[in-house]
Amino acid sequence: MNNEKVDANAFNELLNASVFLGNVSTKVYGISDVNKIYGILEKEFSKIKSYNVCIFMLANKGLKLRIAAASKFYRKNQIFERLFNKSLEKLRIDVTKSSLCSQVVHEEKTLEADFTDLLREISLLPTGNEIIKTFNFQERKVILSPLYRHKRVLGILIIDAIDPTDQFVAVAKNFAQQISAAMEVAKQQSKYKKTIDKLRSLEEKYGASFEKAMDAIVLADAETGIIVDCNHAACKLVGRRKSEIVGQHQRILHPPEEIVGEFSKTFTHHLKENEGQILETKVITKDGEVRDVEIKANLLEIEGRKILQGIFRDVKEKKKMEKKLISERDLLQALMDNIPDTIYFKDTNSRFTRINLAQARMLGVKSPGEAVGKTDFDYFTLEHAKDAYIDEQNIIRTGKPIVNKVERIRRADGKFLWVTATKVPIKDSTGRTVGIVGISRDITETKQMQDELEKYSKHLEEIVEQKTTELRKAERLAAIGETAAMVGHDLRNPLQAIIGTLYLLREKIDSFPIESMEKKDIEKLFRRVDDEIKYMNKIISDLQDYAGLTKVNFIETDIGDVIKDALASITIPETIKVSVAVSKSLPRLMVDPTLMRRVLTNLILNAVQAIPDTGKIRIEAYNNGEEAIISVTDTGVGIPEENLPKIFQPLFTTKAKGQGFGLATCKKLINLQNGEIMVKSEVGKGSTFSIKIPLKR
Amino acid sequence: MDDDEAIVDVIKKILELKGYNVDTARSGQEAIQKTRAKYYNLALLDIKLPDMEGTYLLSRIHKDIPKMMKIMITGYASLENAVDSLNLGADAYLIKPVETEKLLRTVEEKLREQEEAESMNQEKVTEWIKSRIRKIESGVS
Repeated sequence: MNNEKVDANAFNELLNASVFLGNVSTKVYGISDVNKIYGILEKEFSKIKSYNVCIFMLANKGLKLRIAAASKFYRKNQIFERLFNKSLEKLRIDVTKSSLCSQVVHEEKTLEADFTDLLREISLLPTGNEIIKTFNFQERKVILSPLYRHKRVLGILIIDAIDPTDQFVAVAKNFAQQISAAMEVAKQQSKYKKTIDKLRSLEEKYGASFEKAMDAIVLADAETGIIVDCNHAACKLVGRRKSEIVGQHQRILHPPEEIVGEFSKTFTHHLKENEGQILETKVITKDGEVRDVEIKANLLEIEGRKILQGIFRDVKEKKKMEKKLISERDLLQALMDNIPDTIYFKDTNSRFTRINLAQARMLGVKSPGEAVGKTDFDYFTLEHAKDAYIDEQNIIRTGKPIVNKVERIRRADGKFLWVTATKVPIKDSTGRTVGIVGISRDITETKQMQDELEKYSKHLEEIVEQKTTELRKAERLAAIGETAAMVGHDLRNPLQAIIGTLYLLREKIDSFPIESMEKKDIEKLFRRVDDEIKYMNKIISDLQDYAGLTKVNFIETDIGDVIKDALASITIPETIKVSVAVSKSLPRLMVDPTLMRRVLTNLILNAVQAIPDTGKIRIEAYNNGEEAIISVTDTGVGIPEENLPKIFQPLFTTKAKGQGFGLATCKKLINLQNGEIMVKSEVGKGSTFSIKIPLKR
Repeated sequence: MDDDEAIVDVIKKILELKGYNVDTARSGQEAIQKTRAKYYNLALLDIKLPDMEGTYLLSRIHKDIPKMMKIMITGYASLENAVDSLNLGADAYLIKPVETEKLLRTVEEKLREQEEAESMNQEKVTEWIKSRIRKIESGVS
């Protein structure tokens, strides 16, 4: 029963101690100033009486211990001052002289010992025993537990209690560890505070704004991985408040798959070999969302500490941009490769930097890549390359584009093409021209069509002009013809009357008794009138021939007979020798014999008239392939060259006594028979009129 | 027959000088009336008339009096006219201006032809009568 009661008391005591120590450790955790921690500890421990606490911290490179904190009991009774006869600040305990302290510091053990033993080890003053007796220290036990910082023992937590249980020792040991952690944080934070302040000042100096940076920035101790600072963007990236990040291990920022050992993969990589490089990894938000990021990390040495500065960039946006960029690049490529127009990019020296398939074909290279670095001079004629170079250099200098310039260029296969070239400058973000992009369209076909159209329209104009001239001529001829027909017909009646009257007059004069000499004179006068009547008659005939006769009676005709008939109707002076040669192979011709006779009569009459005194007339007829040729050649005066084109026109004559319808009529009559009439002549030598009649109809 | 008074007049005088009896007409209608009223051995016809086509006049007269000689005179020479005229019963075709000698020659020729044709007919009748008599004589015996 009694034992049970004791046990119950011990348990209660332990529970109280545990709760108390837990509260204390919570209170000190996160405090950045170690001295404040000591203060809190002293304050808290003053509230209790069942056990006392003091903290020894290593000093003098670990050789000595100083008393950093002591609970009210020690301070009030000036235990240490009296034991060592020194002020608390100056008091130093030699570690090596105390085996207990040595074991805790060097072997990191948690020990339980008699308080008297500890006191004797650390102080050899004669007052020791007196104090032990005064405060009943011989009844009390001490628990010594190491205090760590960064895995190294920094000091000793000493708790003294009367007859502590094993459980209490464990609680005390745990408490020592809690205090260790709190001191660790405090120590580091105070150091990092300096580091961060330094960093901030550097950043401010260099104009970068840590807090306002778009990228998330996290600073972590390179050795422990403890995050010492972060900016607003970092908070946003992981969805945590700054107080939820700072002081935490850097691994909390990453999902488990990114962590190997104690640190994230990238943290280790950046530290080991990839400092300064951009690595891809993932971060995890407070809500568990995993985000792709890129981290660039730099190792900073600040205040003797190594700090890894990680700059995070959310690559979701970047990936989206990249994807968009890729799709746009693909679109551009598809456009470039499929458009029939040639596209080329050039640098400021007019060297190709990129061309499309059409341009590759134009240049005659197997792939667009082959042309990179080359210029127009490598592919085109010197003349074109020069012109293009001048144009491009102008664009680069002035920034003014060239739009739809028509150029003639030689393609790789040697074919010349017409193209419209458009070239515009390419500018960088600062507005500086860094090259040009050109696009040329093949307009050869269009151009040819255009040229042809121009040619055709010009030809058309010529035709119209010619036709107009012909029409005017035809109108003129028609008017002449009409007049001729009218005049011809109307002159025949009075002529008929004159002839009859003249006959009667002759008869009457014959019957008068007039002297024979006078009668002879009168007869001469009559004859002259007769001649003039004949001449008038011929004029009328020519006029009517020319004007009328649109119907032709084609009859198989022996041209030899027609020539004979024509010659028979003409009186040829004896001074002119006429020869006729008709080829035996000449077949009968399909012509109108009457018209042919008229034409030949006319031509022979002309020939006779062309010969002033003596001369020759030769009439020939023969076949020349598909045509029959009938020609009349004289050795007369000939026709001046300038008159030759006009002689077949009506109302043109060189004769003093000629009305200008003879040859015009001949031409008309021959044309009506599908033939042609031509003339060759030389002044002083004579003329040849030739008629061509087609053999087959 | 011509619509030109001077021509009608001068040719009438020439023919009368040569001893022919001549009547004139100045239109197609007048010509038709005169040929119906009186027999003429020969007509000189202009092909161009004020009131009708000369060729029409020719065909009308030819139908009425085929034995009359018809000489066409025209100021407008064309093969068509000539052929048409001859087909319609013309006996000759002359082109204005025709020489007086040629005109007179043609007139004389045509009248002689007419006379010969008539005498031929007379001879044939005589021959027919003679042969008939011979047949009768031989047949009776």
